[in-house]
Amino acid sequence: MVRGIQRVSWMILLVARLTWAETQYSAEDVKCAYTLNFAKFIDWPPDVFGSPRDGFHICVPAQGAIADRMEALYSGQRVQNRAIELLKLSERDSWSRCQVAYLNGLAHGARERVLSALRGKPVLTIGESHEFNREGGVIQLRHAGVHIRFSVNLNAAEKARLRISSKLLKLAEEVR
Amino acid sequence: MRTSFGRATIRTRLTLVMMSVVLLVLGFTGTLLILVDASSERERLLREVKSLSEVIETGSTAALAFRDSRALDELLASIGTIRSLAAACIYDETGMIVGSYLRTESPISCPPEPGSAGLESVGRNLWFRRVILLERRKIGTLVMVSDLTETYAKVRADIGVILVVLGLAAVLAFVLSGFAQRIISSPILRLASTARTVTHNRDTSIRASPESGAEMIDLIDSFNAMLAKIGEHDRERERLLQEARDAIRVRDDFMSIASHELRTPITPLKSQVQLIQRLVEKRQLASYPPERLESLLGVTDRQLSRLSSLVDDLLDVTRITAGRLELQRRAVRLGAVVRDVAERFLPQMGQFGSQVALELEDVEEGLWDRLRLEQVVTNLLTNALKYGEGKPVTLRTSTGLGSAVLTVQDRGLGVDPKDQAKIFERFERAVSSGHFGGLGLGLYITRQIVQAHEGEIGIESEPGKGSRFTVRLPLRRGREEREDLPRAIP
Ligand SMILES: Nc1ncnc2c1ncn2[C@@H]1O[C@H](COP(=O)(O)OP(=O)(O)O)[C@@H](O)[C@H]1O
Ligand SMILES: [Mg+2]
Repeated sequence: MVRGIQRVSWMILLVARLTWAETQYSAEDVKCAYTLNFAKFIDWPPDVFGSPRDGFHICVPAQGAIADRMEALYSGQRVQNRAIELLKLSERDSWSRCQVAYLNGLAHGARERVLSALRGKPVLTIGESHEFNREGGVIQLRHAGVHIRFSVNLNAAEKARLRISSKLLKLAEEVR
Repeated sequence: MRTSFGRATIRTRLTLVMMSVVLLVLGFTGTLLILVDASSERERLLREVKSLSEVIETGSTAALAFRDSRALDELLASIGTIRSLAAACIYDETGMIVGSYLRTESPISCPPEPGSAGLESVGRNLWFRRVILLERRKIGTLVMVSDLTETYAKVRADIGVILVVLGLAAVLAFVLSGFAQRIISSPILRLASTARTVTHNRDTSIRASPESGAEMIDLIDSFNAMLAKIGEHDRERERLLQEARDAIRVRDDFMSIASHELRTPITPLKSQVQLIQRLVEKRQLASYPPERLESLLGVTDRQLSRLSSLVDDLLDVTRITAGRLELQRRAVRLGAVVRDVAERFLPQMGQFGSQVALELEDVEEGLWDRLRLEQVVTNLLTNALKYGEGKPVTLRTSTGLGSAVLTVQDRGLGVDPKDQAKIFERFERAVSSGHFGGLGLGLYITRQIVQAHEGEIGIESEPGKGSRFTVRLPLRRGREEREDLPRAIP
């Protein structure tokens, strides 16, 4: 009897975990959520924000499909106790007023230019290209089957004066 | 109504009381200890689980946010070494299990639904739920399952220990109550057996032997005092019974004497009356010699007065016994009373052959009942003549210590010292009724009269040498009575 219950409960557990793995969310949605979650485990230098009423700026290339997803998902949300302001930018815009710069969707050349413009600025850069960390980007995402993993360029983060929580670092696939 | 407890022996009752007290007290303390122990154990568990859940919450936020089940499992496994923790599960905000730790040897699983935060008892388990927040948003739920089996085992062990202690205490109480019984009830049992002996043997001289203990000392003392009282009462009853028997014997004696005494004068009276009747019938009364008729009537008169004085004495005794001896007090001189009585006796003196001498000092007047005083003098003088063997008799009056004193002295029979007190009692005589007639009432009445006058009477006598009776009558009466007296004394 007791053993039966145990076995059944194990089965329930397995089913539950499978369900979570095969999430019904799209990869884009997961990336949106991750971007927001990263911001929750990272501290920006205090001088980044002007007044307490300033929004939390998340910047995304205007032409990418993810920009619309973000707009839909982030509306009304808060992070670091600030309202999220989503800025859809082009390569030529100044990205330095962003707290988070999601750079996937920019062409290779454009991404490099933006990254070099942001070097040393307190902006969390997120990208998906497998070179992103090496190019000086802070967080690099990677598809691994149904999961999405990430790696961190700690050097770039330190230059940008971002303090990344050890909890986040523990989850990283790789910390450079 | 008596319960069976009420009928039980002291021993049984003592044992029951002692055992129930011991068991009650110990049982109560034991239960209390167990309850306190169990609740503090539960409290401790809860504290442990709570602090643990805080650690898990802070450690799990990032892994939850990035849906890293492996990291969650590792985190839970790292704190799963805590013994009481049977399982810990983390659910995401949709209620799916995303991380878990199950202690393999325990048959415990994660609840399928996370449920609301807080504490819940499920069977032998304690479920503790905590909502995991990230930036004030719920991102998941932690459920920790504590296994209470060990706590229950501890409580069971406690109960076992207490039962053993209770058993030992019961045995101890039983043994102790045996001792207590010996101390408490054996003196009572001994006392009860003494009481039975007293009842059985009807012997109140038995006494209970002393016992220790304040109440027992009291009880034994009262018991012995009661026995003494009963003994006293028995003796008193015996004495009263003897007195009553004596009184009856005296009365019976008196009845035979009285009937004899009363009949004695009647026989000659009757023959004299018959003689006179015959003389009258034969019309010879006129021719009967006058001196013989005179002596005949004289005898008749003496017999009559003897009868009437006997009857008077009996009446007096009845009156005295009924407390109706009333005095008619007038101013009286004792000397005058004595002289009158003596003169009245003159005709009879010859009969006794005694010389009566009067030595009368002048004594102050007193407030006395004259007729009663005459009775006193008459009785004493009669006795002196009767028991004086014809020897001279002296009547004396004098004053002494505020009293008038009368002494009547003869030189006759005398009274044995052992009878001297007795002769003043009713029907008591110191001589045989054969030789001297009399009811034994004269001295009794005399003393009653003297005492009614607040005076006293005594006898000094030596057998064979005569007797002296002394009467003292106070000249002044007690103050309060003197106040309301008529001023008859000049
Ligand atoms: N003067 C006396 N001498 C000797 N015995 C006396 C004298 N007076 C009284 N008694 C004794 O006291 C007894 C009681 O006397 P009393 O009461 O007068 O009764 P009674 O004369 O009828 O016998 C007498 O029976 C006698 O034994
Ligand atoms: Mg007499």
